[in-house]
Amino acid sequence: MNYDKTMERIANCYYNLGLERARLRDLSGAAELLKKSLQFDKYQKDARNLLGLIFFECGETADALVQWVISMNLLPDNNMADYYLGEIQRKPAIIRICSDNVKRYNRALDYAQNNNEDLAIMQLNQVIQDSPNYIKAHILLALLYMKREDWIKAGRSLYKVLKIDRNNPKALVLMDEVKQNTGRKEVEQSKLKNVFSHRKMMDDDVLVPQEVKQISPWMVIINILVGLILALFTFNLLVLPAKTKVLNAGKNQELIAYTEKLDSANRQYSDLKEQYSQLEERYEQATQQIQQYQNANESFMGQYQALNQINMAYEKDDFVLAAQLFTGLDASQIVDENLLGQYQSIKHIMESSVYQSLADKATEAWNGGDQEQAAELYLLSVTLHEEPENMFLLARLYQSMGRTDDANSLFDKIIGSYPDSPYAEKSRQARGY
Amino acid sequence: MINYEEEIKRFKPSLDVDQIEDAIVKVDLTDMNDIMTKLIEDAIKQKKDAQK
Repeated sequence: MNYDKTMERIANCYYNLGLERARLRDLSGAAELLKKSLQFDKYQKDARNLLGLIFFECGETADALVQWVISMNLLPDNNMADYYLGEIQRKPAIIRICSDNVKRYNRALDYAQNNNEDLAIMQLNQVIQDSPNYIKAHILLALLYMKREDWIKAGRSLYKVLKIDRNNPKALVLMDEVKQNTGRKEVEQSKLKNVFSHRKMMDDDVLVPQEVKQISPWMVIINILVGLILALFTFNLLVLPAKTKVLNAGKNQELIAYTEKLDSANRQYSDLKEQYSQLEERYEQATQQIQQYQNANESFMGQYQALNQINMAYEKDDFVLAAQLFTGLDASQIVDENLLGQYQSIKHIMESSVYQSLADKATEAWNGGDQEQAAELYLLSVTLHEEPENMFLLARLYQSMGRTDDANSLFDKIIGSYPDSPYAEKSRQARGY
Repeated sequence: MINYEEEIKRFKPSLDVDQIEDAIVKVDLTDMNDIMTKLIEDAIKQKKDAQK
């Protein structure tokens, strides 16, 4: 008997059964049959590739890769495993995510086995978020929830498992436990009883249509209330969000318009503020200029009057007043050219003749015994023109008046400023040098 | 009644992608064909030994 052909047929049979189960989404059953197929014929590449696909579907990517790599090594020609591996290699992110998830699952398992359930649940939730088909993670999570008697969450996890793998034995057992604890089992059993129960109809049995059944007034009220609640719920769920969205969009547009207006007003305000500060600056400058002009004008008028008075006094031969006015005048303040010319001519007169007249008058006053008057006149004369003789006379006068300090300073000035003058020697003698 | 502790302890870590190479090496690829061949070879050998 050609036993290898027989093995091949048996393997094919198992593969076909496995394929059938896989089509019905009984992945666990299919995997078992495919493994059996491979036990009879390891070269049954379809069985191995399908087993890999089932592993991949269940979130066991590494196991899937193992099967496909073996498949490719055993039968490299015309093998679908090549396509699967190519697809996986084309998207390296899949491998990275799977690897991360496996690591997290293993860590969660470690936590769970060491009574660290909170961390385990946290990790498993993350794993399931990234790999929703990871059956082992779902079942472990369900077990942890069941341990905490959180039957609803456990039931959800198991429901997901059974959606992926319809006949997963562990999930079925756990789901049974969950249903028992939530009371679902009794409900389902009674439903099944109603569906499959058969009672022989008697002659006097009447089939009452569902619509004609008597409904109690309380049921009517309850139905109306339920209807109202459903209507409200539907309104909140379907109509209200749309209206709110429209209203929000309108408000947003309004807000944008207001913001734009506000921006424009702000810009105008800053422009006006800038203009205002420019105008204020100009106003300050203009005020300063006016003040300067006023000052200059007042100064001009004052200088003009002073020069006029000096002229008038001089013409009246009142040299003393003329000299007093002249010495009181600040020449550096005269900027006007006409006034400056007038000042220069008065100055020339003062320095050429008036000072001497004053000195003569001072000498007369001194000779007349009026030392105060003499000192005043000498001082005016010296102020107009520094003549060493007059300075010496004034110093002597000061000496005789007892104003030694004033006298000494004048002597020193003559010695310092006019060293070649005969009065310098006299001054030295007076100072006792 | 399910013993959750026991059930959780029965879980085994998943195979990581980094461990694929080791896993491939460790996979036992012996099928019925190999076993049958080995049995037949042993039987032939025993027969030969007996004839001697």
